[in-house]
Formats: sequence, structure tokens, C-alpha cells
Amino acid sequence: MSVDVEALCAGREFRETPPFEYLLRMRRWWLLASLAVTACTGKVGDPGTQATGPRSPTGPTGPTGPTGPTGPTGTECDPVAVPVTPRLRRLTFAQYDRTVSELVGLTVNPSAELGPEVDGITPTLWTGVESAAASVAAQVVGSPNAYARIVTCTPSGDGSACAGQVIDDFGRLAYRRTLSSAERDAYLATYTDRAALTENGTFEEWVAVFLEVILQAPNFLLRVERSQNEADGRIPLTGDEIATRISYALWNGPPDEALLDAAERGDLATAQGRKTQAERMLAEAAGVTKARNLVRAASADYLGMVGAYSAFWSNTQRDPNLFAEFYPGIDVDFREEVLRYVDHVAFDQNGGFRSLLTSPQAVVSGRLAPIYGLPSGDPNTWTPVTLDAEQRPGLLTRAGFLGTHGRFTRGSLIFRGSFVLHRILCETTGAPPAGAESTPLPMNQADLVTTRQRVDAMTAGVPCSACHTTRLNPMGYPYEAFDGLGRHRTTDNGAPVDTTGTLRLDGQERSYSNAKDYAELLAASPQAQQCFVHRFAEFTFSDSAVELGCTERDLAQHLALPDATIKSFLVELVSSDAFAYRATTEAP
Amino acid sequence: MNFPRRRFLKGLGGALVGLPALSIFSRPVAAQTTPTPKRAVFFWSPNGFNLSTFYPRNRHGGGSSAFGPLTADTFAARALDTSTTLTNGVPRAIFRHPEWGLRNLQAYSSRISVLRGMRNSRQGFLDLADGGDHGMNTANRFTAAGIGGGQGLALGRSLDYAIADAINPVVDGQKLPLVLHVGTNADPRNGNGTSFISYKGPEDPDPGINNPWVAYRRLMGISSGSPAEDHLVRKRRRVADLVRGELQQIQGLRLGNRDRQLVTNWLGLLEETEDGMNNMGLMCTTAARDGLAPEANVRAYEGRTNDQLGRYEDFQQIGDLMMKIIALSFLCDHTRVATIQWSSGAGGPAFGSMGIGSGQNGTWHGGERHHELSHRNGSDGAEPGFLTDVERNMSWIDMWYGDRYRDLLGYLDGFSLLDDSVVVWMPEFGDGRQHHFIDITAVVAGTAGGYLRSGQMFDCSSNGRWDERLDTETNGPRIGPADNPANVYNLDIGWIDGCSSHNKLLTTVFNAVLPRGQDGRPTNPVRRFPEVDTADPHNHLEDGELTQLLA
Repeated sequence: MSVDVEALCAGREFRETPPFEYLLRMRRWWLLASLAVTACTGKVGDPGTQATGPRSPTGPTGPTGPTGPTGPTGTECDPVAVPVTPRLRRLTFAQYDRTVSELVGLTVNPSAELGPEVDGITPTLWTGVESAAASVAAQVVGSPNAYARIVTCTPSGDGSACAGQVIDDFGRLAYRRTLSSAERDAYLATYTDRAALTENGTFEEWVAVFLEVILQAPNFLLRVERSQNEADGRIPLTGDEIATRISYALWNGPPDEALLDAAERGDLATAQGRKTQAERMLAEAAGVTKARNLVRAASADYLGMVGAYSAFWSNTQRDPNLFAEFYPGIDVDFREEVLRYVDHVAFDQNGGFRSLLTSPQAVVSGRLAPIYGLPSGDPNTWTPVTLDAEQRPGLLTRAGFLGTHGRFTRGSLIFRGSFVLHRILCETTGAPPAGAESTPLPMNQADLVTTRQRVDAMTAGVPCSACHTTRLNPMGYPYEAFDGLGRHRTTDNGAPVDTTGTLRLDGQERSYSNAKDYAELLAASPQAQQCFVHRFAEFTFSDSAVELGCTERDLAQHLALPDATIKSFLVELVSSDAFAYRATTEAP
Repeated sequence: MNFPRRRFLKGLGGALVGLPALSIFSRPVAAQTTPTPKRAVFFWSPNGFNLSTFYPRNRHGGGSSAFGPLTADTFAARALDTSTTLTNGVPRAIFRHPEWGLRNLQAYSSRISVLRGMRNSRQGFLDLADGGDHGMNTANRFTAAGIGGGQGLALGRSLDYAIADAINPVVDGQKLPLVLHVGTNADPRNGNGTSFISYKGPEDPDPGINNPWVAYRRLMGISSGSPAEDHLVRKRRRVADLVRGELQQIQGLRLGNRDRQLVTNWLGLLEETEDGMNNMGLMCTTAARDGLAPEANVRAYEGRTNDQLGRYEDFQQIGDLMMKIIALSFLCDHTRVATIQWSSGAGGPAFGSMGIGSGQNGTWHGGERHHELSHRNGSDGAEPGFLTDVERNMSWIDMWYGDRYRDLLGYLDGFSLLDDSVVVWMPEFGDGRQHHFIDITAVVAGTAGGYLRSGQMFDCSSNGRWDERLDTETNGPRIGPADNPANVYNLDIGWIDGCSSHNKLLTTVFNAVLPRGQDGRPTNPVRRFPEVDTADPHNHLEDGELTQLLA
């Protein structure tokens, strides 16, 4: 007899809570949350312990009750708060590759020479930067097209005028701003001294030297923000600094000339100016491609496919006797399915946050198709399909989510509920009591037939009930209509599945009868909207403790608009104050 | 737009940036540590040693064990004894002369180890050795493989090939060791067990490059006579100046701790880079190359035939160039493992032909080949006979090889490569007189960056009782009447019990150069080299490393 063990109190989530969650609590969690967490953890075992309320999306002066009104409208927030960010942000490897590729007009992968991706500048990285710069320079000089793109003039006379033009044009793109006269002079000196710096002193050889040098420059490798003058409690950024923030946020790559032009005109100082540029950047085909890549990465982050939570999305193992559609490595396709879904909804369907959680669209590979009752096909072909809108509303009814959040023989009500609680609603809970995970699921009995019944019975007692009964379990009930691989079902162990439930959302008691109702509840939830904004900001600023002040509220409100799309959200995000100002305190 | 030297510049650039970094890594400046490349050299000499004189002497001054630290005392000068007194039935004077194998390695005493108490993995002697005693020992030395019939070749690949496969950079699409041979080499199709020490695979020997000009040509990529490295250095200085200027400007901003640390680290790296540029001798440059091995010296061998390359007159000069080529190849990261084979099993030159040995005290048999002297009778056979001062001749030859080994260490150390390397000197046999497979000695220099211990004589036997085997004066084999080399060509020293198989040393060396984790241990260690055992019932492998050697 095997013992069916469920992760009690969503134990895995707690054990794998990444450090930033604690940071969040320390930096950002206000009294409410602190009290609430204490209620769920510190007093585990006390009869009648009140489960925590949601993570309040309001500011420190927000309501104090665990289930108080937390809607983003009308609550207090800090109107001048902007993210506390480092002044120096070294290009990530992905940014470095894209930036170099765009600068030289060749698809190159120089990060391959930099060793493992680590923070800062290490010996390995620095030596790699040098050899990568030399290698890129050699490729440019060896490619007539790339060379002609960088050298747009014909050297005449002593050639210094043309060299100066190369420096001005390429330097502006590499430094993401116009070079200072001292910087220009330093590069021009490499031309003057080219005989000493190259073998034959030709113009072409100098171009290689120039590229090699500038690709090692701190002002190229670092995104530097120099602005230091405060105004009204924060520091306005210069146009080029804003342009850089925007381009890496939308494209994960460098600003183009049009964006730099707008910066130099001063357009980016206003929200409207930033909006105009962002809309342009998301309208051009090449820009959309870059934005799609970025949203894909941000989505993986939002959904926890990277970092501590990623264990839930990987190493999926299912009993092949119960799940004929299972195959080893299915988790890779599951993750791909979900990311393609987000991409499809956001860009092909021009959908918004609500669509993400409610759309019947899916993008399915030939191998995953049978899970949806569709004919199987080529494993490498991904096809957009429209599913039954009643059965399959949105992201959380995609097999990619349901099939990964399960156990060997069945789906996991608790994992699924925990996902909604933590990832979609940004709530936190305390650690489960010792031994919780090893508590066996009760055996089938006359009144314990379905998984839901058994899980509820298992978690009904003290201390589990504090977290499970009103919070975790009701967030997973709707997905009882899907088995451990995400196949739709109406019965579980011979008994009808029960997908109804009641939970507290945004401070109110809300009931649903199935996954569709539930998806609509989440899609319309200010808390879920604000959580999405926060997760996106975490990704954008690489900072789990990022503070957006009222911008977070405003962006959440934007998501709630009927015509809001993911693209319009991106536009609003980079138009916000978070992209135009630095905080007056430096990142530690 | 044509850059004929592009490849050179790229290679040179890599070395230029890589090598100064060595000094970075060895200093605590940088918070992050990055592994420096580890390297291995296998130095092989024929005919075994004169074990009665070879070792530093720990017990000479009354010490209780032959094993322990190598100190100035253990390297103390040895006086010539001309007496005829018998000690324990043997005229000890035959072992008492100033020459001995490691005499001139005192400068490296803290950086070498002397290993005792091993046997060949391949056991057996004339009676059951395919390839004969010489062939078996030679083929088995760096393969620890069984011996095949017919040509008597090793049945597995040698450690140099295995290491190259594991750690070498890819050069011209391959990861190969640099295999060098001093003297005339054999065609793999008709050579035998005595011919080769390096094997690509079972019965697939690599005879090695024996023309220094051929081996050198790869170094010609360091453009001959071009001041290209000067351009490169000037360019690097320009980069350093520019980067420093920008960083100093950035330092003037109001920075958080992390930002400030980033700038500080970067400036520190620049400083190290500049230090490196100030020491061009440590970089893969024409200056370094020409300083060590000027092209003209090597080009002299262009067009030499295989037979001509075996001329005794050139033995030392070719060997010296080969060792310099090893050091330069390491410097330029063309390879991280090299093998140098001096002559072949049962081989070796007549040293007199090299014009050396004149002025040698005592009777110097300059016309006798090494193998003939190793039999003590001036013959390639085992018939009775004992040449005057022949033990001293043998000691002198050991010392001659010891001096070559010392030169190799010097070339590596001149490029600051020694401490991160393992340089293994192993002879064909243990005792040259016995031609036997036991009492195998190895000298190991370098610690592979701290993986190994050094500065010691180590008892590598399995029971730690090797002292009991040793003569208390010489630290060599016990000397009794039956062992009197003047009288007996003794084939029965019978010390197999307690010996560790020499494949454990090979395993240790292999692991020493593999990538390591935080704990200093290889992330993917080998349990045993060779990993594949062969069908030879006489080849007895042991698992694990020689733990005595581990730091």
C-alpha cells in the first residue's frame, strides 16, 4: 500500500521561498502583512487562528485588517516614490549580445567568451570582454556590409574627418548618448596614433582598433546614470538616461537613433513624449520582435519559471499507466506552451491582463494536443487553437500549468492553489509546521472519494486549516476539473468533481462555480492586477524589493481598463515616473 | 582590409590577456577566483636509475627514515671515496661519488617530490612479458595498460592523451597533447614496445615529433620578426588608460556600496593587466619566444632525416629545444599537456659523442651507450662484467637527465607556469641494473596549483614500510653481498608486496589537472586511470589516488 502524501500547507512553496520574498517582507511589508504572517505561522496550532489576508497592495498606511479593503482606487500611496536603482548596471549577457549585435549590424554572441554570468566585473569576464571585442572588431572589418554600416564616409585628406564621423556616430550608439568632447578626443587620438596602434596604420585597421577599444569602455558596458540633482524629492534623469531605461525595458537592447533623437530634443522628459516613443517602438516590426522576447522573459519570471519557484515547473513525472499522453521531458513543452500562450495573447491577439487569465486561445504542439482532446501531430509544430471557452479559460487552465502542478498520480489542488495565492496574488504565507509535508493523504473512504475531499479532510485540522481551509484550498478547487496532466474531467475516482468554492479576494467574499467564474474573478481583481504590475517591475528593475509608489497603483488601474492590452501596459510602464526619475537614495 | 596575421593576433591576444591574469588569480585582490589552467608534462628517460645514489639522503645524517622533507641536508654535497673497504661484503666506494641523480635540483627542493614504493601496473619479467622487459616497462609507463602480443604495444591510451582530451583547448579542431621525442623515432607500423610511451589508443602509439623545427612551426604563428605585439601592447595600454579615465570619472559620482565595489574591482584588474604588460616575458610574444628559443637555432634542423635526428651529438641540443618548445606551447596555450621521450627503451646515446664528459673524474666510458652502461658490463646483454667506475658513470647519466629535468622546470618557472603544472619524471625501470618492474621511482614537480604536496620524499607503498627495504646509507635498495652490483646481475629482488601500482600515480596526476570545485577536489574526478582495464591478466590496476601526495 503506497501512502499518498500531499505537500501540506504548500510546504514546497515555503521551503523554496526565495530570499527576495523575505527582503520584500522586510522592506515592503507593512504592519498588516507582518501581523498577518504572524497569524498564519507564529500561532500555528492555535484553534481558530485567523489566516492571513492578502498582501495589501496599498501603502504603509493601508487598512490594518487582514481582509480589509485593498482596492487600488482611493487608497494612499507615495506619489513621488520611484525605484531605488544602482547607478551602474552592467549589461546582462543577453543585453550585451543584443547590444553588440545591433551596434555592428551582425548577429554575434560575444558573451560566449565571458565565462559564467556573474555580477560585476571579474577577471574572467574582463579578459573575455577584451577577446570578445577583438573578435567582434575583426568580424566587422571582415564583413563589407558591417564595415560600410559603420564607416559611412570616405576618408580623404588625413582621414581624420571621416574618423571623427565614425566616432560620433558609433560612439553615440555605444554610449547611448552623444560623446563628450573629451571622450571624442580620446578616440580621435587613437586615429592620430594609428601607426603605433596598428601594423600598417590603415584606416581599416584603425576602425578595428576603435571598435575594440570602445567595446571595452565602461560607458558602453555599464548603463551609467549620472544625474544627481534633486528636485521635489527625487532626481530627474537626463533624456539619454531615460532612453536607455526605456529601450532595455522594452527591447532588452540599446536605444535606436530615433529614441536618442527624442532624448536630445527633450521629448522624454514628459510622459507623453515617452509614450509616443514607446508606441513607436512597439509598432515597428523589428521592435515588436524584441518586445516579444522581452515579454517572454518577463512572463517566465512572473510565473516563477526562473528562480526558486521553478522546481514546480520542471522535472514533471507522471505515472504512464494513468497518463498515456505523458512523456519524459514533457515539462519543457509545458513551459513552452505557457510562454507561447502569453506571447500569442499579448501580441497576436493584442490582449490584456484579463485575456491572459480568460482567453480560450492556446498554442499547442502536436504532442501536447491529445491532452486537449485534439489530434496528435508533429511535436515541433506549434499551432494556435481556440478551445472550449467554458472549459479552458485562460492561462491557468492550460495543460502547461495544470500538468506541471501535480503529483505522480494526480493533479495537486494545493500546488495549484498555492500558485494562485503566491504568484498571481502576491500573497505570502509563513512556513508550514514541521512534518507537514509527510502527512499522508487519507485513504479513500465512503465519504472521502475525490482528491478534493481527501485534501480537505487532511488539512481540516489544526494547524493546517489556518492556511488551507479558507485560503490555499479554495484557490485550487476550480482546477479539480483537470487531472494530473491537465486533461479535462468531470469525475474524480468515480465521483463528480466539485469545482465550486468561496474565497476572500480584495477584501470581499467571492464565490465561483467553476474555473471560468474563477478566472473572471482573478482577472478583475485589483490585487491580481497589482501583483502583475509588481512582478513586472521586479523583472524590469532586477529588484525584488522595487518600490513604484503610486505608479504601481496607476498601472494596475490601467490593466483594469476594458481596452488595456499588454502592449499598452508596457507603454504605460515606461511612460511612468519610474522611468524618468531616480530615487534620492542610492542602492546599497 | 586584409589581415594576414589575424589568427596570430587573436591567439596572441588571448595569451596576452590570459597570462597577466595568472598573477591576478594568485593574489587576493579579486574577490572572485577563477581557475588558472592546469598543465602536465611527462618526462621519460630510458634504462632506469642508479637507485643506490639517486635519492636525496635523509638518513645520511642519522635520520630514522628515508622519507620526509627535502632539505639542504638531504642535498648535502657528497664526497668521493676511493677506499676499497668492504661494508657488508660490498665496496661502498662504488656508490660514494659526488654525482647523483637529483644533485642539481636543490633549488627546487621545496617544489618537487620524490616518490617511492611503486611497481608497474604490468607485472612480469622476461618470461611473460610481451615485448620483453624493456618493451613492457616502456609501453606500460604512462598507459598502465596491458601489453599486446606481436609488436608488444600498450593496449590502452596514455595519460597525456587522456588529459588532452579532458582539459586541452581546441586547437585546429583537435585536443591533442604535444608529444615530443628526442632521437630517431620508430614508425608505428614496425616499432615495438620499447619505441613509444605515448598512445592515442590501444596499440595505436604516437611516435612523437622528433624534429624540433616541426614542433616549433606552430609557434611561428607568433609572427616572426613582426612588432605586432608592440601594437597590441600599445593598444592595451590605450584601452587601460581610457577605461581607467572613465572609471575614475564614474568614481566621482555618488555611488552605493555595490557600485563603488564594482568600480574598485575593475580598477584593480586594470592594475594587474598593466603589471602583466610590464612583464612581456610572461606573455606569448615573439620576444618571449625569441628569448627562449630563437628561430635560427631551431631552423638548423629543417630537413633533417629521421636517422640524422638520432645523432648523439645533437641529443642534448634537440632535447633542450624540445623542452623550450613545451614551455612556449604552454605559454601560448597551444596545449596543456606534453610528453618528452628521451630516446627509447633499451636506448640512450653514448654521451661522449656529445662532447660532454671530458674532464669527468674517474673512468668515463664516453663511447658506451647508456643501455650498455646500465648493464654495467658495456654490453646490451646480461653477461658478467663490471666496468671500472660504471656506477659512477650511471650516476652521472642520471644527473645529466636530472639537469635536463631541472632545465625544463626552469623554462616553465620562467613563465610562472610551474606551480600550476605537474611535471612527472619517470624512468623506464626503477633500478636500471635490475630491469625490473618494481621499485619504480617518480619525481614530480609543481603542485597543479596546490592540489599536490611537494618538498618531500614520499613512501607511496601500500603498507608504509618502504624504509625496511632500504639501505640505511644510500636510501637505495639494500646492499648485501648478494646484491653486490660488481658481481651479480640480480633479477630477484622480489619486493612486490607492499608496492602500490603506479597507475595510482597516473590517477592522481589526472585528477590534479581536472577542473575543481569549491572544495578543491575535481568536480568530475576519475576513480582510476586507466578507466578501461584491458584483458591482460598481468596488468593489475588499483583504484584511487596516492593520498600521500594530496595537499
